[in-house]
Amino acid sequence: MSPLLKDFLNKRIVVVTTEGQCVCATLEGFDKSTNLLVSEVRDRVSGAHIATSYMMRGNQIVCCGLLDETDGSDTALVGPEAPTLKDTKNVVHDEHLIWQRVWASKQKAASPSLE
Amino acid sequence: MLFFSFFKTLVDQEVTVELKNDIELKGTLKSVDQFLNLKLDNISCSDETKYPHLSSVRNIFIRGSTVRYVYLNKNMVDTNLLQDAARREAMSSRK
Repeated sequence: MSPLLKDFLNKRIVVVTTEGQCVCATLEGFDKSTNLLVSEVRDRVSGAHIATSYMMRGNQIVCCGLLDETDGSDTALVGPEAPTLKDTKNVVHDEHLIWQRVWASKQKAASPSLE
Repeated sequence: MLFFSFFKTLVDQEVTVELKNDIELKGTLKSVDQFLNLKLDNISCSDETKYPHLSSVRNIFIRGSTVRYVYLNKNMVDTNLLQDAARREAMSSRK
């Protein structure tokens, strides 16, 4: 269906996920919702072996880049000091505290006589 | 399908894509599909030192759902034509 990933089949790719994880792997297969079947999965930063075979769900994929095989820069190229990638979620930290305050101020406005 | 066709007219042009994880990639648009998944060639990351993960990657597939913005040059877009096409699509879908 989506032929865009066809050129990447059986090649080393870099996959970035919505969680901010970045791995190197060999693309074995894919489908129209970008579910990926990959093998020989290694961490892009540390080069640690993660799994021999992996199925990645399409909605967790951010992008897959074709690794240049000529320069042999497969793993651990980034070095451990590399900053972690952000996720795509845009989460507000301790959001419940903000809403707690909003709720409290609303309550106060609704019944000022209680003070 | 209007923006699918629109992006097809932009093939082989230089675009900048901002992803939802704040990475900006600049490259030549090579292909696009119905989900607005993009394929860029010859990419460069705007801040390579901050995110070196894609440093040895030239050809990249981007999932359409994780794109925040696609920056285009003003002269790449014929706004009048796009407006016309949008109107026509809206008319035809109303029927």
